[in-house]
Amino acid sequence: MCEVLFVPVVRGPLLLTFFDSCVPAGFPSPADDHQGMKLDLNQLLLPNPDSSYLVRVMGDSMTGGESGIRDGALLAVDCHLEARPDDVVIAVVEGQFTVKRLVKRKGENWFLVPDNPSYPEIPINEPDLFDVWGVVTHVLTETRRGRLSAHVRVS
Amino acid sequence: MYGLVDCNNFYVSCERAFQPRLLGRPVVVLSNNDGCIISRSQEAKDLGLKMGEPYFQVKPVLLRHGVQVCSSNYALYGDMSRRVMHYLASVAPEIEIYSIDECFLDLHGLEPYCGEFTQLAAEWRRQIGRRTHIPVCIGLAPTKTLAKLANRLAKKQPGGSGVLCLDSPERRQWALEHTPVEDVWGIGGQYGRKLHEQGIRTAAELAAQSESWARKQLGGVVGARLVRELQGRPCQGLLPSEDGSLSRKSIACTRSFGEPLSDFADLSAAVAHFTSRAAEKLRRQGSAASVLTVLLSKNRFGPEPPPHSRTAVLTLPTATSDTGELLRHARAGLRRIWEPGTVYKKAGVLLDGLETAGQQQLLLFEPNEQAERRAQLMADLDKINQRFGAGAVRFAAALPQKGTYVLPWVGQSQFQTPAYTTVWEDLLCIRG
Repeated sequence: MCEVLFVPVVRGPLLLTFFDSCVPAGFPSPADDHQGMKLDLNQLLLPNPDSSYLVRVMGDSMTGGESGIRDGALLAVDCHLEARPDDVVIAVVEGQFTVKRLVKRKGENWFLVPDNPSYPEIPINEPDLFDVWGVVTHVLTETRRGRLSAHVRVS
Repeated sequence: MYGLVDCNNFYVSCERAFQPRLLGRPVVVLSNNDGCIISRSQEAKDLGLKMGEPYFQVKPVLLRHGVQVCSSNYALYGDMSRRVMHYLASVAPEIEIYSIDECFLDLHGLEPYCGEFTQLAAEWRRQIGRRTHIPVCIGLAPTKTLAKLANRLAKKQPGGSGVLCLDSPERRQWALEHTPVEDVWGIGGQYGRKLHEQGIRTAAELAAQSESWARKQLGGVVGARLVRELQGRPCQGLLPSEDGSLSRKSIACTRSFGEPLSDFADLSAAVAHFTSRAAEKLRRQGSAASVLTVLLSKNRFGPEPPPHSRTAVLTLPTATSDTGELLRHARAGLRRIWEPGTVYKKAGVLLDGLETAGQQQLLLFEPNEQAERRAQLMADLDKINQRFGAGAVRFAAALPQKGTYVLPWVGQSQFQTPAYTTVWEDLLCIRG
């Protein structure tokens, strides 16, 4: 006796789903559990985007000192901060912008002091003609010429 | 309680924020193509310069008084507006951005927590001044109409605190008595004259009218609501929108040309350019337009008698935000109104009858698949232009004629300041 068994044959292609991924067969990466966010410089430089501005410096009156502000540096300025003594500020003196350190000396005498000693200090004699536009919070300079240098506006 | 925050002389104030030497000096900002005055500092107002005066007519006056003239710098104004609105959104429970320089606040439920509204508003005003260097005035009142009125009065007091809160019936009465009826929000010049004829001269006299009177005399329900609002009974809430920005009910892109144009090909390219811009705006707010208007204007200061403008209004078969589709209709509209041998100074495209994209009625015979692919194409187009700059990829219809490299319809802006806050090359430069 023999039994004939009809095996159904699929004609035409049989499509299988292709999984384009590796099946981990080894030990899972120990770093997977510790995957963090990518670092975002904006969070550091511009924590208050609505009151922060980026400005460029032209000139070397702040060069050589603690602030590290060189000619062409990019500054992050936060305007909602209250200026405190020894802050580096963007000040308006007689209608002109300048970047200097705000220094308080004996009594209530305020000065705008450049980091570069070859520039003169500006005593604030008439508070009416003076205003703090914003407080400089960060300084960005390039150590190798790149995109930042390319963005200098020549005027 | 409602609040209305209004930036003082907004465009001028934006210019001053980055050019402090302009403080205390007369300054005006000109419209697109340096056409006419659209923003004036107080000093410029004091010189008698009027809103909308053509630049070329007042040029001698401007020169004589040493008025600083600025071309409009919308990149800067838009960014500064966004900063002001973001701050307000962070302090008020709800806001409605009413225009580039005005914002309604809904302060309901805030009373128990914040004490005096006047002090609170004064602090907001101080903060906005610090953060953006833009002076603002704030009006506070139980209704939107009264808040608007309070704001106007706050602005009128020179050297005042810039804040006016109408929180008692006595103050409201005082404010109403000091407001001419034609200055009430929603009363135009025409109604103003009509009311004056009937002996109603101040907002107080209007507020004393009955609702039924208002219904009869001031255009039905709208008038009745206006009177109720003046009486301190709120009828209008904030117009909500998901992202806090107001979705526009119509979108326009109208510009005067840098040089007069008469050739159909030139005008067609200009209209195509404006249509592309309007379509981008349309997609940004997720709308589709069902009515398209094309406008052409001759020189309105020329020797020819009016009318100086012609328009063509087209009802589209189905609401769309597809640039290609809109371009086709705009060209058809232009063909209707363009006259050979005529010199045009200005053109524009208006999109009306806006619907939420994706919800518009579909055509019976249009294959839906095609629509989906087009929508994807438009989304990709917008993405590319966002990344590589406006107009990086555009429809060929919006290109100038062969052999010309400048866009002849681009307006002049001789006195434009840099886009200090939005372009790397334009960042504020400070002498150190």
